[in-house]
Amino acid sequence: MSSDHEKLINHLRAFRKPANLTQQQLSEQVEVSRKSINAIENGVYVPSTVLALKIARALNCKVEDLFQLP
Amino acid sequence: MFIRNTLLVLCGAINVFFGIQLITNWHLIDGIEQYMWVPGTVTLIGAGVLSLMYHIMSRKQARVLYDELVVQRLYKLGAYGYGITGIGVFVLFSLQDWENWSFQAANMLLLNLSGVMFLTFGLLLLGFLVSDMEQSDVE
Repeated sequence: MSSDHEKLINHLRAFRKPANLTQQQLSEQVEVSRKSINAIENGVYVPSTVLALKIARALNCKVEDLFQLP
Repeated sequence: MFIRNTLLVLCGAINVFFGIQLITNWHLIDGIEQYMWVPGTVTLIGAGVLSLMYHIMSRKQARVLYDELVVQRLYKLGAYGYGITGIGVFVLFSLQDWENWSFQAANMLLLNLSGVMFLTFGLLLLGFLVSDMEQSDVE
């Protein structure tokens, strides 16, 4: 099963792993639950703009690097 | 988290229990009509405790526990609740024998309406917890 949402392709896991961050650590940095990070990575949930920006800042990259339209 | 889940399970299970008994007339408790205050009271107390905890806990913890994913899921549950209850009310009203309407029939209708609402609320609450656990999968 694809980990992408039907409306959004995400590369979150690909950026998080090299940054040596667990889902828990990333979730603490952006102040959401670990379940939210898990849901985004698995394509279950499309994050809000604010959350996408927070994640991009935590991973030191651009939002466009993390998320793309299909 | 543990307290929240325990309260939700308790509220959900009690509502489902009462809902099934009222709809199916399968009475495990004699004179269940006398205990109709239980589901509403448990739900109100549960909601009160959760609201109080939300305001007492640190802001960071509150933001994590009720983040945008949880809020979106709660909105969806509310929408499902309105939809299912609306269909239930429509079906119950359609099944009534309006030609031979009586106080007994009215009482029965009220009990069935309560049953539909208890059951819907309880099942949605338990469904929320089940999907909560599913999303807890370790990465």
